[in-house]
Amino acid sequence: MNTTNMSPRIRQPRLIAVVMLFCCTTWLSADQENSMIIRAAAAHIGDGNVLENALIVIDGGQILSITAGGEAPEGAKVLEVPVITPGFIDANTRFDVEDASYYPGEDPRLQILRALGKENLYHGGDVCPCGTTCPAVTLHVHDDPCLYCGWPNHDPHADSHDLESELADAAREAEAAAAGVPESSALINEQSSEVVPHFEVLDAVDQGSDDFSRLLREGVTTIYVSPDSSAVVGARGALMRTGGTVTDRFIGPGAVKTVLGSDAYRFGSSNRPPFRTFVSVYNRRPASRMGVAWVFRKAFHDALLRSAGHDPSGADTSSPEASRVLNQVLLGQIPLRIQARTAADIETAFRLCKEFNVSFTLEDPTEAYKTVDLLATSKVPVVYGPIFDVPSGILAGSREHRESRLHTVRDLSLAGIPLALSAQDLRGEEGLVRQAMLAIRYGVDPAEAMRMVTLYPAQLLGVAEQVGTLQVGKRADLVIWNGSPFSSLSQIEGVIHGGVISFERS
Amino acid sequence: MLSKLHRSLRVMIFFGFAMLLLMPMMVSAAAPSKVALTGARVITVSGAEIEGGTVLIEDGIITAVGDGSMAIPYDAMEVDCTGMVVAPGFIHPHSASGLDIPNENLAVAPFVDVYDAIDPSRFFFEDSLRNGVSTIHVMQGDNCVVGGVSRIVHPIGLSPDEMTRMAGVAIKMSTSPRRGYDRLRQLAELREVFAEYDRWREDLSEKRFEQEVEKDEELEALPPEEARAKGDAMVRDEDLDDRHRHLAHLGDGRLGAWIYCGAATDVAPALALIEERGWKDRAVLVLGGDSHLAVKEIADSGVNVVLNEELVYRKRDAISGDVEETFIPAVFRKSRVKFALQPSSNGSLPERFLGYQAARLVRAGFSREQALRVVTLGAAEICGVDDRFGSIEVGKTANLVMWTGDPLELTSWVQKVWIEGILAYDREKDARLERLFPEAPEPEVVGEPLQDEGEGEEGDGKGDEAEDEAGAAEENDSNQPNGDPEPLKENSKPEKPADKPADKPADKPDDKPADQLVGGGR
Repeated sequence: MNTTNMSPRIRQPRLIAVVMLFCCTTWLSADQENSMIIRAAAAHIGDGNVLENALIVIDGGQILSITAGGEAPEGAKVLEVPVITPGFIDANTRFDVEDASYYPGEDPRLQILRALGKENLYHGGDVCPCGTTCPAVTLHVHDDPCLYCGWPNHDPHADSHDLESELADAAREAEAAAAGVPESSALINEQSSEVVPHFEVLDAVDQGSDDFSRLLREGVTTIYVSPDSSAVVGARGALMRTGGTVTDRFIGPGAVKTVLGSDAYRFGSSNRPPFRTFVSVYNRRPASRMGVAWVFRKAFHDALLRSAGHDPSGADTSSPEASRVLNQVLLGQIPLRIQARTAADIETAFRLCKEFNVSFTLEDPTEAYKTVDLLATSKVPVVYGPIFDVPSGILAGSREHRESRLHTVRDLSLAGIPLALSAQDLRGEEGLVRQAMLAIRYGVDPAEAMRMVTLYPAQLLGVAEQVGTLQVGKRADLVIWNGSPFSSLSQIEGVIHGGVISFERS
Repeated sequence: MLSKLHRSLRVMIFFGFAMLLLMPMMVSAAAPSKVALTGARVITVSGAEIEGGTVLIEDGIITAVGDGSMAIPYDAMEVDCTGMVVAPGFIHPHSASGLDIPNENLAVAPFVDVYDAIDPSRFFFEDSLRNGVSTIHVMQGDNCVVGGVSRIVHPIGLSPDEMTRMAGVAIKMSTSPRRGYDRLRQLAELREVFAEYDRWREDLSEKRFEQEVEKDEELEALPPEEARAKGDAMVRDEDLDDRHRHLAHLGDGRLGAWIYCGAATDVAPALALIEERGWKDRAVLVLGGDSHLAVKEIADSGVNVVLNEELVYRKRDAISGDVEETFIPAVFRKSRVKFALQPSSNGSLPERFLGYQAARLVRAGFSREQALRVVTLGAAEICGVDDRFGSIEVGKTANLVMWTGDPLELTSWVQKVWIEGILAYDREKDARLERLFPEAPEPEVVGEPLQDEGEGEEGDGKGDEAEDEAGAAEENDSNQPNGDPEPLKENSKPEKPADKPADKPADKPDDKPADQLVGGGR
């Protein structure tokens, strides 16, 4: 009861902050940088409503006003478009699945330097101008010579480093660390652990990937990059923009991703004990759904033990870093996502979260049509998609998709569940806008389908105040269509990102 | 006891088989000889659309097409199609999906026929009906040098015989290397097939001439060169052996030449072969990969093409990394090359609908009429069956699809399909579709599902909401000293859509009752 009384107090500073932010941005935008006036024959707001003959004024990258039948000021240049919708949001993007693995893009460091206007500082990535391979992954700037090779004040002949002796030093250090009493985090190293919530998927995102521009061309302006599903308690996702400069793309870290079901034990083939020792009950990795649930439980129990001042023990004890993050999850400070595809896994997710009294977002529930009532009464946020009967893309690799049904989205929507649609790794004819098209084909109301790719994902990701709908004060992420959105006959003619035309069909 | 069981089992099996055999006859016997589809918007493809039109079918043939004023024979079964769209069935111009295995093991097998590999029980045929495809050109796959003979089938029937509407349509060849081989070997083998055929044909011609000389006293023996030239016309069908029969039909125009080119580099050898063998009037290129780069050569040769389902070609610049996307049909349209489209056989869901593939043409600037023509009459022309299929015209086979709306829109469904005037598909009775996509329980309740959102949350009675709320409040403060700058609050309830869209929505989430926490499933 206390909390009810508290909430207005909390809200107040928030409101003030928002108002101040709003004032600041309008004040700052005197330079007319990201400003334009658009008249659309039909503007889909994103909450299901459509404004006829709408006049949208964009200033400083934000929507200053949107009015039906409004008059543009005299002499102002007005962009006339047939149909406009908000930029779409994919709440479960598997980012750069194709491009990163097959075609490495430009060195992301070069892109960052270019964005900073310091392109001349780029010295070729890992290869130093002196010809040696530089393992430093930090950016080199003139004033700070490279810590490793000394570039640019580096004379390769005078003080060339002895790579062999340095490697030997590193090996000695590693040996010394291994010889000491192993800490509880000894099992944790990169991919050999099932509990890595302290990792962030952002570190793995190829900032120079073409997938950003491809998503932007397809109208997706905000993405939530979800980690892969090979660890039971995986890394944290990342909320990103697909347009703008590289340095401006990252919005913030996301939920801790956890996986129930077969992915964690089917794809985590490297998740074996260190040095491939024998597998026993003390050091095993999950090999079944039981094991997956056990690792999940153990990770949260360890976190609780640590927060109570105890030291957890036993095989698969998660690292203190992991426990710190999971404690924040338990306190509700960091959201939790659970990928659970089969109906049994969805029920397991509810059971586990009941045990730890933690709320979660359900990701990729292929068989959600079997648990509609459970989802409707619990009001758990759901990210569903893509829609398919025969899986393609990365989904084809899992055995959990045999019971997919085309009516799942409709059933969830009829039950009042505000689900966010996602295309995951699919692009083009199966991309996010085409997922909305399929949702309409398979029984979803068009206005609701629009909300599934705009308003609902924005609310689910907690960014509804910035993006998701065409409303005053929100970021000017707009998609220009040549006809009714989500019709098979329509296509995207342009995308405006933060008030800047970022894509125009030639 | 056991033998008795055996006997009854045998009787049952026999009876079952008898039923199975009788079934098609029963179906065709039940079909009325005259059917009139009335009240629909009729897309004829060959002519103008007719609002509230009537199509009269007699014995599987369209005998009259007209508007609402057309007289309907008294003995015709009238099907009311008011509010629906009737269009010709789509034509799938090139499919190996109907075969149990798409390719023969032998690289050179012109003697085989898809007849022996068509599996009528394949899901593909059923799905074709469901997606509005009424005519399918079943052809061997692309992994061959010289493949078998194709045929035109209908997706109904219990045996290949029942399904077949035209046997011996074309031979499949490929100038792209078979899997595991290179282009040198591919083209050498291809050349050798026809060199060997020519040698055999010369020998046969000479032999035939000699035979005729023996029979006919007016003929005189000639030197071998002239004997061959004269004897060529004397070769009868019964002189052809199995290995060369289809190649001979390819030569004399009875079979078409369909050549697969998986890349632009394979187009030139294919065109050279067509030119050399004189197949120009009946050759079709089945294209894949970047073959559209050879569009000028294809346009000059006047050969028609069949595109694969991947209509967009993405090329990445090796140096800059920039990706250039090309919409392939637009390339061929610009050069006035006639092309047909294929639906995707697996994978991408929208691309499995030929209507959707046609809709993609409209997006690229084709008119709706042109786009629909490509997947109906245009495909029929390329397959050489435009005299029978592809449009709603008097005298053509009554392969008609009743759509719930525009065939190009993905929101439209195939409601009924008539094949040769027989009702072959009815969405109401589609058991498999009912399983994958059952009717909605209450179709009128759509949209606005969040009416009682603010109050609808589950309580769990735990007292840490204050922390949750505090955490959520802190999340907005990006300057907090420690902890994560947390823009996400996935587990908070989505607020009710704003009533006035132009206004800023009220900041709702914090107004939740204290004893209610999201999630937990309690």
